[in-house]
Amino acid sequence: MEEILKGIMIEAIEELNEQLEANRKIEYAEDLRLVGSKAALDSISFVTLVAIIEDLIGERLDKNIVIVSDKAFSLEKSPFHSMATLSAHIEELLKEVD
Amino acid sequence: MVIVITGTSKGIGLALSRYYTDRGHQVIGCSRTAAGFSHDQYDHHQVDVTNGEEVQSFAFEVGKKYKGIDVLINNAGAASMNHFTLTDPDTAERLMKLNYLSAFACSRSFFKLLRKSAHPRIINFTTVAVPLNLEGELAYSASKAAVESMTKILAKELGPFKITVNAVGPAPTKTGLIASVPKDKLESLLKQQALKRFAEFEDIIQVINFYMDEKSDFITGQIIYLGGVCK
Repeated sequence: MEEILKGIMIEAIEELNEQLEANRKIEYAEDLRLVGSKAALDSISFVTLVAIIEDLIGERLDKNIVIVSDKAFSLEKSPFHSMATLSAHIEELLKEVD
Repeated sequence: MVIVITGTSKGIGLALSRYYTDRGHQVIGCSRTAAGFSHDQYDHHQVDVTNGEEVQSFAFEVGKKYKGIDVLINNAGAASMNHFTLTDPDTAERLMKLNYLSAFACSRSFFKLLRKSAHPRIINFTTVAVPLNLEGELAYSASKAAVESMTKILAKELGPFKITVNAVGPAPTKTGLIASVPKDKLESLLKQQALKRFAEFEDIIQVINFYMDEKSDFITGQIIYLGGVCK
């Protein structure tokens, strides 16, 4: 599952980049910061990335998940810190809907 | 266009479904009950729009079948007219859920599908009861005031995605929604309008068509009341 999710994340970044201006494009990395002062994405790009990932998970895995929720925000370690933490969070969500 | 309309079992929602399917659009309707009509271009889902999980599943199924949608019309709603002291708090809660929270949940769940459209639209329903501050309609009016606030803020938050968000505020329309309203109350309401008559379905569709028009890409965060009611 980890590899499948990594592939989805890379594809999502590529799709996001199609919508970003040349000087704002990002490269996939597990430690890519998603939120906070050192984030590589602005808030709109983050929202877009989440929407793209949810779409891809629906298409590739036929799973209906909602990545952002009160529960996710209340976790001690934010799942939105980096691509790696987001990926781990999604894996947990997928286990819940299985 | 692919159009999602909530609350299509009767009233304006049913009329909108008929109108758009007859004009060749794909309409996806929903209500808690079975479909009120059938048409090749009409796809009905039984959904309780006050239930966030059901709405999320509804959007997921629509996404699997249609990939994206162009318009979301948050039409599902209910009214209750009574003096404040005679209104059960449970009624106020029910109206807030059906009129406001359902529109919130649908807008959130269909956002992903709307952003794939070249001219994405969210159209909400409010009421002239909000600007007129009608006595006897506190619970209903407050829930629609929330819809108006949502319309304006969503317009800003979804602006970066080119999704326009607007609302139409019909004057009293002869549907089941006002069936229990006393005649003298309705006449008193009509007197407060610049144009003193009931709204017809065609009046409402005129505003919705305007919002849906491809040329309305720059129209967002707006509320149009019918009958000449001004805030």
